[in-house]
Amino acid sequence: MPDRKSSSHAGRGLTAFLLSAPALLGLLLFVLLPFLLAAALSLTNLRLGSPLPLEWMGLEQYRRILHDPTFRHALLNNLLFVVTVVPVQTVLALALAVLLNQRLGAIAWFRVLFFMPVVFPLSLVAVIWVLIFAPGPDGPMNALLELISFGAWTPRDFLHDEQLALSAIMLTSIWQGTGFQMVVILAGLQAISAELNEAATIDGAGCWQRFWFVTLPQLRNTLIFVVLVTTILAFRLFDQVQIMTQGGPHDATTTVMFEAVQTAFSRQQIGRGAAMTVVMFLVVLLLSLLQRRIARQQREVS
Amino acid sequence: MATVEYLHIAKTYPNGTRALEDLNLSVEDGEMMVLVGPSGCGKSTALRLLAGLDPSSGGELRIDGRRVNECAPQHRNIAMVFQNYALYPHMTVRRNLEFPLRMMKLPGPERSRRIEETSRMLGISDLLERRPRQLSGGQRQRVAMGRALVRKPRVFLMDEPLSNLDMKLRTRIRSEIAGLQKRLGITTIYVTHDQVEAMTLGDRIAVLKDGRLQQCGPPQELYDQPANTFVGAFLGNPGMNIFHAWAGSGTAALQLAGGSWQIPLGPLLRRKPKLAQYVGHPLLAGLRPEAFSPWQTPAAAVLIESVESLGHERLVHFVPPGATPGAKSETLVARLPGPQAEQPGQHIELGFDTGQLHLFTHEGDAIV
Amino acid sequence: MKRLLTPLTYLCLLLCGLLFISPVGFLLIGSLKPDDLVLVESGGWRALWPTSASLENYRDVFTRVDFTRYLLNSLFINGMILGTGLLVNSIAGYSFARLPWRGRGLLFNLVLAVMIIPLEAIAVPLFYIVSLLGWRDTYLVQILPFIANAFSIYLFYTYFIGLPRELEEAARIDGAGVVRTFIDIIVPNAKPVFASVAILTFLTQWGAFLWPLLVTSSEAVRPLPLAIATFHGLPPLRWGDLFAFGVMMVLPILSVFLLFQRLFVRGVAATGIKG
Repeated sequence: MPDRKSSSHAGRGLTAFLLSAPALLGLLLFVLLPFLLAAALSLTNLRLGSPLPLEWMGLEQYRRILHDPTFRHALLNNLLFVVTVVPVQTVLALALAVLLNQRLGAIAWFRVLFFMPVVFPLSLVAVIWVLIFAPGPDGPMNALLELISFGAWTPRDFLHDEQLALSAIMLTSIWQGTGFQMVVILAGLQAISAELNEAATIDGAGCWQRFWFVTLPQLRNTLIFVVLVTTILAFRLFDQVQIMTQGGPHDATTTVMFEAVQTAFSRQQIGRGAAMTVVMFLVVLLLSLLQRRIARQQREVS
Repeated sequence: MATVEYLHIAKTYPNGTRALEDLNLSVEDGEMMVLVGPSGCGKSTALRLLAGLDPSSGGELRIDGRRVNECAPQHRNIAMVFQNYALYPHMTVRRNLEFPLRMMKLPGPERSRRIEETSRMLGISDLLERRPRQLSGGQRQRVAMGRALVRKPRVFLMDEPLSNLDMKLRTRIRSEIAGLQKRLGITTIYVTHDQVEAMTLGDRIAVLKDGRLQQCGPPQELYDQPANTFVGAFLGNPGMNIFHAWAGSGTAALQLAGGSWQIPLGPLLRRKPKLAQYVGHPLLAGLRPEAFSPWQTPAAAVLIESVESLGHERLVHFVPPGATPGAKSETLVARLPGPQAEQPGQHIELGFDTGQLHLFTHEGDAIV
Repeated sequence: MKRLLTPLTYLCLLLCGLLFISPVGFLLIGSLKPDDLVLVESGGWRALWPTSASLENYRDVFTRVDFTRYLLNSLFINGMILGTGLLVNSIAGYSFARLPWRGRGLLFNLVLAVMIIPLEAIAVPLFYIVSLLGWRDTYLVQILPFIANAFSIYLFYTYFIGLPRELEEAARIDGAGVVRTFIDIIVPNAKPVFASVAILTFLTQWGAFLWPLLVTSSEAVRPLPLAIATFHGLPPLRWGDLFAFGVMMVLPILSVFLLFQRLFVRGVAATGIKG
């Protein structure tokens, strides 16, 4: 055997770095760099094709967008979206997950059923729901509401109705997103040891008591995760708005992302658009930190 | 075949853990060296350094007199059996055995010949087309041995290879390993925390504790002449009883366990001349459980705490009269032949063979 | 929870399930009907009944737009992202999980930090960068930024961390180098995580809309999700055609899903493990 003197450990270190290099390069070029650029651009007045010279504006863009009624409306819409969709979707997904958490043949098919919309691209979902929300008595949603209200419902044009357009988008999103949450919660449920439930049963806990005192606390971290992801997705809301309402009517459905894209691309105000996306990033960052904090506290307790 | 030397080997892990300090150990050609000690004593680290899985922080490793510190594992020509066997789960037994040979770039016919030879030797020829998960624990163990042996290594490393097996299988494979090692004459370093394995397998045993070598020598020598209280207490089951002793300068007797037993100093000093230096100092005494018997002098009336009967013999836990009652460390164990004859709470006369008395300094080093 | 599932709740579940799935049925049935009937019949039970079925709409899709082109674009873009992404992210995850190198901890923390930056937050400057590079309206610009993915790296990392270290050490002693160990020992034992990452990548990328909308303008490179939006806005608005388009658009991912639904569920569940 050759006793070849290769400095084995240093050599491995280099190989190891080279293995992670392509991914690191990608993240650097296409995530980190643009992100830093976004932060930098948001401090300027950059406009594509503008005769004005590039100017350093400091936090002026932020002051402006925060005083811009349309942007504030967009932010408010995102918040409305969060406080409605997140609880509704989570409770729905939790209920489904608990009901479907059994090893029964037929149950497995329900799981597939409720998960199916997740694989639908949002753009397609939006198109289907545009028709579901079609105006007039023939629109499926109008017809359904008429049926269950025994004719008391008068047909509305959901997507052109300032009061209903945002709710319509919310419903669309809930339909598409619930399955994803359900599966994550199901995984969380299956991680709870059966012995825990059995012990609670022996201790005399009923069905609901077991749910409240065993299942729910054990699911805590899963639920925190699910709520966080849904919240972040709510702040990124764009596709449905673009296809279903274009932000209208009268900014009733505009969102931060929709505004940012409109500002940067339709109005070519790159600096201002960048400031909007930075605001969105800060919200996401804040939420992530919050989640980590809450989840960590839980770990320290247990 | 080969010799192995650890010269002033030290290992500090990046997180600051000092796993080994100044380890000096040499393994003879064809020898079975057992590294034994409690978990965290550095025995596995010593093995991993030799295998080349971790770099050492200082010192020199030699195989056949040549420095191998910088040599990659595959160039050291060693083989290793892991505690959990580390069989490749996605490969059949044949492919598992073949993998090291493929890495050596041996030609196909030679690979087949070696696999054939090794699997016949280990009695796993029928298992070649199975996958690891289809094998029993004992079979997996054999395949792991096979994968190590098939490449004909110079040094054979085994890291607690039996600890995942049940008691009966462990005893059987233990003797198989011993036989195989003797027959093939491969230099072997065997790591275990089980002193029975160490005693039965090792040509020599190296006892480690807290990263330091405590003693190295043939099993019987370590059992009979432990270099310190740790080695004494570690080997044997139960281990050696260690308790306080005092050689008063005024009296001519050695006081054991708070004066429970007294032995004349004269004959002891003749046997252990060094003892003279420690007269007047607190000492530690060591007695193996089998040194006690009811008919010997010096005798003391001891209080029985509990008795474990093993059928042909019994382990009697007792407190000598001079001991502080209730102090856990003051409870001693005697191994007495025959079935249970005592009841807890009873007092019996118990003496011991003074020829088997070990004496240690207060720090625990043997006094010879 | 067995007693929760009384016949009544079971019935409720069935009803909910039907209502839930009705948009899918609506889509499928609608795609088979003549255009003028889709909207007219959409307000009742007939919405879910093929009153007059034909594949007319499907033929229309092909004549009105270059559907094959869009489909191939989507397949190509997703295939490239999937293939290279699995390679690049898995070796990075492996390197972070198992190989010792200087600066590893620091860079891994950076990867974790990057994980929370959503594409939307960097879309504007990224668009600016690719415009400067002259990459607009190409396949490249739809592929390259999405190959390296912090979340994929993280998923690979957590999986590799859980594999028994002894497997690699055995391979090292047997004489396999880093790359050989990865290919021969790690990859065959990491099929579940490769499947999870592949599925999650596919799920997010197949529906990609915002980015292609920003950076592409010609049909030649546009993917399906954009095409359906364009088709939606392409007069005359024919719902039957649109639905046929939708069915064909979702068919690849839906059939993969139905075939490997267990894997999909496991893949999605894997995202929640970090919680």
